[in-house]
Amino acid sequence: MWPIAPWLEGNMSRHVLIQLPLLAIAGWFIGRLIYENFRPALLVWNRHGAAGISIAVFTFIFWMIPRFLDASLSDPIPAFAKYITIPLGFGACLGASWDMAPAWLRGFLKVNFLSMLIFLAWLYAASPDQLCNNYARDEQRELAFRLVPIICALGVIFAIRPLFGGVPIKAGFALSCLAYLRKAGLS
Amino acid sequence: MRTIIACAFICTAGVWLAYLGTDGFHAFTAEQARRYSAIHNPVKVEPARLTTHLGDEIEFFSNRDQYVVVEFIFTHCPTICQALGRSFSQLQGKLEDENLDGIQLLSITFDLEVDGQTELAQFADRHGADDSIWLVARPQNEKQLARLLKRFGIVVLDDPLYRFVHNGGLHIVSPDGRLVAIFEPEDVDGALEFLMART
Repeated sequence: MWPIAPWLEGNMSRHVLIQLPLLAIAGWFIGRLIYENFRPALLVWNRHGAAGISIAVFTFIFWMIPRFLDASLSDPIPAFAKYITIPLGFGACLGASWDMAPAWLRGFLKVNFLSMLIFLAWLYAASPDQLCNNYARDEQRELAFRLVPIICALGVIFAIRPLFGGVPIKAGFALSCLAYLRKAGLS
Repeated sequence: MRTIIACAFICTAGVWLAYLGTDGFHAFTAEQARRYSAIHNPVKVEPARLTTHLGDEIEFFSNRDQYVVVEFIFTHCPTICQALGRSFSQLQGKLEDENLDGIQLLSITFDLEVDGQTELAQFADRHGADDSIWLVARPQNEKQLARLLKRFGIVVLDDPLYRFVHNGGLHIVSPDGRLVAIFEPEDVDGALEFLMART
């Protein structure tokens, strides 16, 4: 991933919307492996996923502070810290803890995640200051407007299950399978 | 129970790290950090030999008996550098009014490709620089420039429209060569007050 890092980090949107999520997702799979292989230890140290989720929340808050994102671009130590803590501190901790967390906690986290994204989008769009010395204000604003559809989509996805139960998801899946089969059969 | 211990530890460590990382919740952006560190933990700026718009080579930031106010510019800059230039004009006027000696104003260009001595002289002329107070200078090579920018915490970004976009301010370097304060580009009064208290 080293050769593509400069490209990903060369633009604020690519950095925040592609690189950081990819690092987190990579960590999530590590977390799933931990969850499947170390369940007894997790049940002692990570009841209801509380410890893992605490680490994930702190990691998330930490990397939301513009200063650290900026530092990860100009200094090697914060850069290294980013490549380690986002997959392990955020992705893996969340992956290992998610299934252990009670439903109310998961809902709380989803809602807070969304509101945090809304706050960030508003901040990037409205701030008269350039928040990162490494990214011009135009890129900051561009990121804000790219966050909007993502927030909307996540909002819909998060809302479907609590509002309608699993039925629409299954129905939607079945319908799209049917449509695919019909199309395949006709052509 | 052990989960509670783990959580307590994580929360303590998390808040502690955030506290350390933001200078006690004071600096949340790199720009704030740069300004906070100038006041509370001033770094030594390495001596640098610069070529001025008059063609002289002068060594700056090495035990000169004067405060140096530094701004970073490129002469074709239409935005922040013009504001910085205006601030320096005002500062120069006020230094003359107050009869404050021993303060050097120094504009340093980071556009080595375009800014030769002629461009620097034009910039000085445009803003009415008085040679005895205000010098416009260029580093001698890219390596020296990169070191200077790093020390001062200036990040220069390429820009399709304006050629460069960069952060900036009025940087005050003490006689012993430390970066002791950074003021907003327009904060002439703040910088002047600081200098008057020190000289």
